[in-house]
Amino acid sequence: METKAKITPFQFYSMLYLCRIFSLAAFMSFEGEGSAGLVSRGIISGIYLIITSVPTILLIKKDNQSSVLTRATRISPLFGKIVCVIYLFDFLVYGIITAGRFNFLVSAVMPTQSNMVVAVLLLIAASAYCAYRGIEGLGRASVLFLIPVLLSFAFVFISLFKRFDALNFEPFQWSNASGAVKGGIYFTSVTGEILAVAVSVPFVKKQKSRHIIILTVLSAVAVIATLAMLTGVLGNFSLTRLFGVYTLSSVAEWGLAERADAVIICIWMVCAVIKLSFLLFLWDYTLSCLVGKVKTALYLTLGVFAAAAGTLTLSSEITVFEDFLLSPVVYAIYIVTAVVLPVSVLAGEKISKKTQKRKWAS
Amino acid sequence: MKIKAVISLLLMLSLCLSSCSYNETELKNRLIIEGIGIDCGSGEDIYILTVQTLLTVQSEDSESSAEGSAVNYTVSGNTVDEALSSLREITGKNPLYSQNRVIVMGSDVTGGKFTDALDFFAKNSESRADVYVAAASGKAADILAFSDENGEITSELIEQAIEEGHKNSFSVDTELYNIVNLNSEKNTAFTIPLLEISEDGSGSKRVKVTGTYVYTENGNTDNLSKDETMFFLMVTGNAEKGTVSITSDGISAGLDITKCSSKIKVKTADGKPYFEITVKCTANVTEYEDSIFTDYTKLNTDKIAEDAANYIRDGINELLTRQLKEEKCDIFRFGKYLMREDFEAYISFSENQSEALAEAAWDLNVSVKIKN
Amino acid sequence: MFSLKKLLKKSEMHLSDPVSSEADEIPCGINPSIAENITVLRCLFGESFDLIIKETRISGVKAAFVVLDGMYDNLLVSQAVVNPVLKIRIESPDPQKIFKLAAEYKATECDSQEVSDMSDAVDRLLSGCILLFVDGVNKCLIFSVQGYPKKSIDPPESETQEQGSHEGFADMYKDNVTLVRRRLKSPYIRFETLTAGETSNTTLCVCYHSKRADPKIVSSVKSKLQTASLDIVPGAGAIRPFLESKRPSFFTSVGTTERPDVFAAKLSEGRVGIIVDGTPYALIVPYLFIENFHSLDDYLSRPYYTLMSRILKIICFFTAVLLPGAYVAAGTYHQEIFPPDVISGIASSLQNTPFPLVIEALVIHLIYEIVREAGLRMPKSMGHAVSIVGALVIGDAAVTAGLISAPMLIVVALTAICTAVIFPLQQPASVLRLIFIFAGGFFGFYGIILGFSVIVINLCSVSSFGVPFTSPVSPFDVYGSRDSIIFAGWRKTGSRFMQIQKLRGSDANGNKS
Repeated sequence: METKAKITPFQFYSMLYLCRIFSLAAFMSFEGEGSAGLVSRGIISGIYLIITSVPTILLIKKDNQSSVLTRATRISPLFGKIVCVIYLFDFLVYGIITAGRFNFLVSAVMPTQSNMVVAVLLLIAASAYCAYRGIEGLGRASVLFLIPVLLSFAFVFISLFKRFDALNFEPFQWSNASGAVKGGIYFTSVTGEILAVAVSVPFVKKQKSRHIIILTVLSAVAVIATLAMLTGVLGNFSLTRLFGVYTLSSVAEWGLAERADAVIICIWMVCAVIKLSFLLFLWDYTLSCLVGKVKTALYLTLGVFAAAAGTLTLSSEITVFEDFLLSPVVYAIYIVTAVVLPVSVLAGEKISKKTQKRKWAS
Repeated sequence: MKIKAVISLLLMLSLCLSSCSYNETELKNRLIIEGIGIDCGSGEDIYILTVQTLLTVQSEDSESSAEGSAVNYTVSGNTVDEALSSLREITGKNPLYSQNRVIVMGSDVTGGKFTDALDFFAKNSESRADVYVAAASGKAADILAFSDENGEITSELIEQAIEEGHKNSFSVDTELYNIVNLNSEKNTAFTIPLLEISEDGSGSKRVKVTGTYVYTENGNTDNLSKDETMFFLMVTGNAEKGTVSITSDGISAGLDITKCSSKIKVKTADGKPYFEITVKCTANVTEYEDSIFTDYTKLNTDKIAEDAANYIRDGINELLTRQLKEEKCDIFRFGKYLMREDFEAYISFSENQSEALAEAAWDLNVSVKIKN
Repeated sequence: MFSLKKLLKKSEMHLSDPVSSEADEIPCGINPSIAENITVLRCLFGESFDLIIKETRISGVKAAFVVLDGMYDNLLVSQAVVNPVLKIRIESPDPQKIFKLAAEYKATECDSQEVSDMSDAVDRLLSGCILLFVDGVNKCLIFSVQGYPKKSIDPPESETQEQGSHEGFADMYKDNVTLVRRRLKSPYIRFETLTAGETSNTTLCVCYHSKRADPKIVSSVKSKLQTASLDIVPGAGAIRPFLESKRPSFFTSVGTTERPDVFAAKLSEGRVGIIVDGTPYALIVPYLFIENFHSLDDYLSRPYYTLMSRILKIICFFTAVLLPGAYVAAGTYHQEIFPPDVISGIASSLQNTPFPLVIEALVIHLIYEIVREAGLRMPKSMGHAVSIVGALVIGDAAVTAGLISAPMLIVVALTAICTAVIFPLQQPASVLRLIFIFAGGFFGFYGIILGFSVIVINLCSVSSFGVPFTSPVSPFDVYGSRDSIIFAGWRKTGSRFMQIQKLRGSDANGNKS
């Protein structure tokens, strides 16, 4: 599939970074399983992210023009279709997770009488429209939104610096090592930005492996810093409420700037729109790779319905959403799409190259 | 295509309109809560709440008493949530908790009831995590029912008193999230400001912070005076400013502490916890009572500093002895220090931490530097 | 729904029944017979009183002058055309010779041109020229003797500047071209004319710097103007939709200016300008969103003041668009945002109002729009009455009666003042404000942020002739950013001119990263 629209690596990775920020901002307390090991989970999450990004880095290094879908199709049309279907499922799951987090975050802070179904549907509809506008709009808007998002985090960090108490941290020996490892792997699996890199290659100009490394390092730093601040300021209180990072922002005050949590959370909500729009865009692209291009927004419409149905079903209750998030599905799709598929494509390309050489030789 | 766009727009508009609930959530339909006082009840209702709300219209409600620009409502229930829900029935308005400035706990709210009462505020996302929690020397209702001469809202006065007190290091400023966090730590006690209605020099009554209320899981163990609160804040590194009055060479001197820092190191010695506590203060001499005018340059600032350091050292030692050995109450979070610096020792002590801390020894170094 | 669709299609077809082009009705060539030509013209113009056909003889040969009353300069016609032509005397009356003499040296005080196409002749007649037909010649002579009444060059009404020139564009495109030529004395500045409008045949003048403008943009502009299906061109705004990006957006990607100095500056940046005859507004493409916050005074002031001024304008824009919605959202859903000292005053003032905040905001803003529109359209003599009604009725009586709250009035007043600061964005700001009031009233800050995100992403996806609309902010261009929110000063920017098509992310730049 030919793609004319291209964005710069900075725009692309800003978009991925905003996606990561939303997962951080909407971090739910049951994902922490006790604040004791939050920072250690953050560190393990960073290491896991860096390790699992290696196959993607190798993919980009070898060919930074074609997406993993195109390359899989080149190896074998059937393999290409399987890869497309897996990525489709992947994008749908992450889209449901994003919309679900938005649903719970808004319902936690809005009055109970508000209709959250409408809020979620509006989010999905708005994101679909943004996806329809194309990746250029998303990329440029990401750069614009990055500044207020980073400023809001800076405000929260600077204003809470005085309340930071190192005593709130508990030593590594206190927390369960296997739990910390599992938690770290979970943190990385549930965000999944690195998966988008392999698919989005045709839309990004002059992508290099160092860009991915910078993204992973900055993501890891953001996660560790935020979880450290969460633990250092709120301690165990952060897990009393569903959204600890939101509670952190509600405590932040600096001079006359106080009670800004409603504004700060709105700035972080923009990341939800960017993330969902990007996932819908990738869904549209993947489906067109699988089935063929269409002139209308049919694939996007299908994506909207699928995301809406999935979100409203799986985020109808917090326990259902918790079970969904902590289920093996999230771990499995991440490891498959981040490691297994890229490695398979690389291996497949090597094998087909050797086969071709043998054919030429014979 | 245009028809599709029009139909989509109409659909979205109808969805939006169907979701609106502005009537119930608008500011004019909310009961703005300024302060909540919690006392224990006798009989079926465990909690009696005094809720101070902002007066925005003239109230003719006989169950409420109007004070200045605030109205107090008294509600009760088996839980705090139940009690606060009945507010809706009385006032017909939806309570707004995000403007709540202070939660005052009556002296009879002890033991598990204390933390149970705060559970509602800890879990409710509308209630702010940084709301102050204070203790009343008697009934919380009496504190909130206090009427200021200038017509100011009592909750606002309490909030100001706590903030001023903390700036001047005679009051702690414990916020709700601190309490929840400290309460989750094993064997750690938490401290909250103690409020009292007392007369000042001119004979007028005011709500004042008179010290610190110490709470453990067994209930209130001890109250700290203002000076003891200052020493407590010095040890924990939370003292900002303070005033110390000492006698040096038989002459009384006043010092304004401008800066204070502390460092705590934890070890084990002979199988017992051992703390090295270092407190460093910077102060200005503000008063030196002498019958003869004293040239400032001839003041023996070293002597004053030494005497001030001794005074502070004695005060801290007394506080440590009383809290750790007599009351067996870890308000300084020494247990956490131990956990951080000597985890194995912490584990060995964890069964009976308060007893272990009672046998602790410490080395206290206090230094005062006179700047002016 | 299906029958409705068919009904709509039928009515569309009816409304857009193809009307035969006016050019189709005019015979192609000029007849050698003068009588035939006169008959054609009388048929064409029907009973119009202003068609003057003066039949005469030049050296015995039949001739006719055709002109439209009121379009010509009387003195010029008599002295430069009619008198010299009528004085032609030749021994053997030959129509061709007479025609040649008239063209070559007898009437040389004004421009003359020969045409053999009747439609061209009619076009020039309608532009105020005088036609000379000579019996026996299948051509006609056109003399440029325009003298219709026109507006003088006045200061621009909508773009007042402290330090800039006081000349604004006039209605005549030739006068406007002169104003631009005076400011850009370069032979590379091109002014090429086209016509638009089947009936109005309005002259459009496409202006560009041949060495700096991208030829693709120039040819794209020309082809869009040529294919613009318009019957009449009442103003520059009628041309704008044909030049705008196809992606729907609240913000126009075609700039407008009333100032020749601004127009000249834009041309020097490689942009293409379009001067429309009959309107004092010129169009400029490509146009960037950030330029809505620029004014000429920025370039004539010190850079630090320019920075403050532009930041102020950006703040005013966001205030004008978001403040009412944010206030409604805060009052309806997010009361925690109000500081404790402020909430009592706001709550007290809201207590007695009967309407929900969202209705109050919508009504008061609609009233403001009505008053603004009335102020714009009504005669000046009625101005005082409307001001009094607006101030007293809305400002005082409504608050006293408890229909609206005082904080809402403050919000409206602030919004109105901020809208006035950002005049180029006044129209989209007015509409967006209402949308955000809806969004804030029904979904609080989340509704506002959803709407805001959609609008920003839409804005970022728009291009103006291949140049990203949000450039040079995003995609960020280092050189372009020296005149975006900041102005780096003439010492840094003066020597090296900026070419808009070379901004990062533009198609002409090859999308270099």
